[in-house]
Amino acid sequence: MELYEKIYVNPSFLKTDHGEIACVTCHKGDSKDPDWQTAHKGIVRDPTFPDAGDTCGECHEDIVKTAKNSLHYTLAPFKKIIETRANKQDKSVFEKVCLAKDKHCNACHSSCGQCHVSRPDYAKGGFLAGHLFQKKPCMDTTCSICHGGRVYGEFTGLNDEYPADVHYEKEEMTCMDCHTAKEMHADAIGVVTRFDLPERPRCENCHKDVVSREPKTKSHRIHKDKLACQVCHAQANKNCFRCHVGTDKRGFTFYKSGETKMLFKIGLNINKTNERPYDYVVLRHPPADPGLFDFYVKNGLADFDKLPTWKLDTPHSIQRITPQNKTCNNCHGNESLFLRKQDVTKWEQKANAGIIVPDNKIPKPVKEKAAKQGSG
Amino acid sequence: MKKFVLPATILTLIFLSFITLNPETSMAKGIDSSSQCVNCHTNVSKLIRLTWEIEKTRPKPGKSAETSGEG
Repeated sequence: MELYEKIYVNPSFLKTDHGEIACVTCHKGDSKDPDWQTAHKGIVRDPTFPDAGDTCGECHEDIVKTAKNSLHYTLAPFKKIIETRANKQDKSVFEKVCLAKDKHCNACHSSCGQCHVSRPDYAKGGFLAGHLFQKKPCMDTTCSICHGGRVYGEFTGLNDEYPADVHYEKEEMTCMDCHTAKEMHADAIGVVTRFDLPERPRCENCHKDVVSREPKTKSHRIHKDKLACQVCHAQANKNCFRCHVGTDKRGFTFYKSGETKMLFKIGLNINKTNERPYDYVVLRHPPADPGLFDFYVKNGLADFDKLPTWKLDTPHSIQRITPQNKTCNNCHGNESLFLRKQDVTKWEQKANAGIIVPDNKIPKPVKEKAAKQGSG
Repeated sequence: MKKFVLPATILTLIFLSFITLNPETSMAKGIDSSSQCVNCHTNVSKLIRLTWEIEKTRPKPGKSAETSGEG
């Protein structure tokens, strides 16, 4: 996107409700000064971050009140994860870890403006539609910017050999059809992971039969509370390893990740809740690595193994029929689908102890007759 | 009666011009044509010229060549 395109205001914006507000009310600067350089003195590029109270909040008070604590604004789980893994014994080391986190991990936060008016800062901004406010922004120019490495590719079928998510492919659904405004603007104070947000999407919001007392499909009746939906209906997801960050000689931040693998691994659910009572869930390896911040400080993540490195995942690559659910025995007795000790590097084994599936927890193969019945 | 008409008209005109010209009043608060922000940001050719000027002094924000891999 050329610089002029990023800042061009469509004249039709001036006829909208938001267009009736003087530019300087939100962006400051001097609208009477004909010299663009001095006119931009004190300009606020995104008047909605970190606090949209004086801008959006003037009219949308109820939304701003919760949105300022939303996951997109605060990225709070990152903070919790990194602080848990950080070296807390040495204060100066801990401070350096926090600075590195702010510089790298917090770089892709969002704000009211960075979803509804412009592309996120992480993509170097640029109006979505000439400053016209987008009630439901286009996923290709907003969500995909930060979630493009993994989720967007899975959902739209950008990973070779793996078709797009059925919700996208057949129903032409977008991110916002499941991730509603209610979720996006939800207060996330006290939420440890995004999976704990009460407003998060749930398959059963649409697929009500699956959680009914007597689901129509036999496999749903058998596996209902034992397996997360994705265990049967997701395809492989993208797993990343060995991320290292730093700053180059020109002052630009860099991200280096090691290999990327398309894998499908099922693990044990170590955080069972009433809403997620499953024994088995789909896992993903995020790029985190003990040496993540080595550029800034050695041994910064001394407590790295306090948290598992194989994490609960809900891949956005849903299909009704998948390689693992074609027949019962495509999964039962199929060791390769499960995260076993040999799949996990030595230094990660302690952190993932509860997640690794021991041999006696890999479901036994079933007889062919039962297999046929079960596959319905 | 006539001697009151002229002063009343003058007073009304002064009041109306105060309302319309004072930037603090609500009628004048919206984006008006005298806003330099609007004049420039809605004019593509002006923006192109200005951004050329900017890019001469401030090179396009770059990306580190050391970035590698996915994720």
